[in-house]
Amino acid sequence: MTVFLVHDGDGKILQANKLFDAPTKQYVDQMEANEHSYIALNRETLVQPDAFYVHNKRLRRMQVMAARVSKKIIKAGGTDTVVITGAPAECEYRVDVNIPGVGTVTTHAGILSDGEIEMGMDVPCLFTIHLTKFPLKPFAVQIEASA
Amino acid sequence: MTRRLVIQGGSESALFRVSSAAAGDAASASRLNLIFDGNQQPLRYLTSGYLACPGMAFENSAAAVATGTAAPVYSTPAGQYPLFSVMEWVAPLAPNPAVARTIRKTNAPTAGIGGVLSDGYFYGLNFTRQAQIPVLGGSPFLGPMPLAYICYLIFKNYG
Repeated sequence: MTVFLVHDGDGKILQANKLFDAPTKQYVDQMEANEHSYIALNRETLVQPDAFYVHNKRLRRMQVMAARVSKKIIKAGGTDTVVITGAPAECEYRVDVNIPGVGTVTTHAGILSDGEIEMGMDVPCLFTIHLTKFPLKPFAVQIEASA
Repeated sequence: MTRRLVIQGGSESALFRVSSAAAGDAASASRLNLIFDGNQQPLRYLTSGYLACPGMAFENSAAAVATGTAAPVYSTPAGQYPLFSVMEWVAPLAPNPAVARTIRKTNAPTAGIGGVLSDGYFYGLNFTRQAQIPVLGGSPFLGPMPLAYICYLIFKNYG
């Protein structure tokens, strides 16, 4: 079986398409006519877009982001903070707070210019800090702000 | 005599037919009345995959975003038609799972994804709008652009 991976200029996988039959000329012509950047792999399974990327026409596994978390439980309402260091510069961050009965709400988002973030919390809750920097694997850690 | 089951070999007939209750005589029933018919090809897998589809910007209030990407569509034998089935799935661990969060009724104004197979292309549709994130005592800011991974499985009922 053939898996076609369409990727953008950075190598991010935009589409994976597994053909159960041999690829037809019509299909390959369609890819070429639309000027897709793609690779064709002889494999059985699709690949996860947050674990693999394409580089130099080859499938590569994403490296783990080497971020360090100072603590996973902090005291809410005080000066206690969690510090994340070691993330790559210019990585994107997003903070999601889990509100019981409502769901997950994004409270902060942006770009970390130096790859470090320090954060406290006013009220007791669970919140998750997400860091993303292509082509590294997305990083997420859940922090508990206790009463 | 009404027949519910016909087992019959021949150059033009089915080897095996089972009629539904509404079909009456299986030997003369039309294919639409049959729940299984050896003359009809069973469903087979054609393709499976996923397609990344960006969402709508916050100020975009009317249009849905569609992404056209190639999907193989074969020509079918005369008198037969391809059958396609499309379903979608949102990966909660996707790099930017904004859609997964909005479907859980969070802070994006609208949410919804889907897929259409037409004209030889698979189109991903993402109606999720970029979230506006409120800030206590400050002006709100815009969250990341929503991105959905739309999974699909396409069948064919011919050759």
